[in-house]
Amino acid sequence: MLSAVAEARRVLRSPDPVSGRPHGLLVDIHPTDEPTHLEVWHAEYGAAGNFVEHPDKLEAIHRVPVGWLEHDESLQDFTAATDALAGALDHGFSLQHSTTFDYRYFFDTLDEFTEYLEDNEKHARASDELLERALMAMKEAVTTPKLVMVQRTVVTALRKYV
Amino acid sequence: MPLATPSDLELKTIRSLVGFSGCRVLEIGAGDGRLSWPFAPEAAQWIALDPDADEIAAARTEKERDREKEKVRLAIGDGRALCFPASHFDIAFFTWSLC
Repeated sequence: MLSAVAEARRVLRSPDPVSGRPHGLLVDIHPTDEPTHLEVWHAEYGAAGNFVEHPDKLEAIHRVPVGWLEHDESLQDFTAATDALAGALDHGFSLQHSTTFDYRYFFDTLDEFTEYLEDNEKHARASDELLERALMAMKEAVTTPKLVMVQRTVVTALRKYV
Repeated sequence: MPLATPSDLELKTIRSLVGFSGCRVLEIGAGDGRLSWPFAPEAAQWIALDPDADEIAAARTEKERDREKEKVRLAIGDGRALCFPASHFDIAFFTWSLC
């Protein structure tokens, strides 16, 4: 068992069904090993709207898939995290819940996106072809577009058992 | 602009799986406290660890220092060697750090 999981198990209390408190939970959030992808979003009608502030209200948003970023071997780290959780199931934890969601980063311009990548994403790059497709999709948008970087993320809760 | 704070969706998803209210929480890989501060006020105790001293320093804004005095502790630390007694925490929260 990965030492971090073993250490977590050591410092966690055992479950206490009487108190109702969620004793003994290991909660993990990490990106999946699915490559990050780009989309261009724009409102179907009217003004650009405030979908950035309310990204879960997607009814009136037109989403144009643009393509995938290129990653180095760092995606294997996320595979390792998933494997560590799977391994924990054989070492004193049971699966409580697991769910995935899209972590989204919004950009107003292509330059803003590329600057963000340079400053924050050492392990991913956008090809020239991807950037060209993104620019085209933004130009074709009928309302003010947003460039959206989407990272699939998984949240898992494991419960310690004695 | 990219999101500088956790998205509503991320917070909602985490809340849908776990409640931190009244719990002793150990956060491992806290970084700049991005996920610590939204949840820590609910907990009885919140200890946030990160191996990067710069990240821990970034988490210590003036505003957050006041809250830290009460129940939040930020510290440099590695999840593979924890200096806490056994059975001390209700929740161990790995934030983008288990790999």
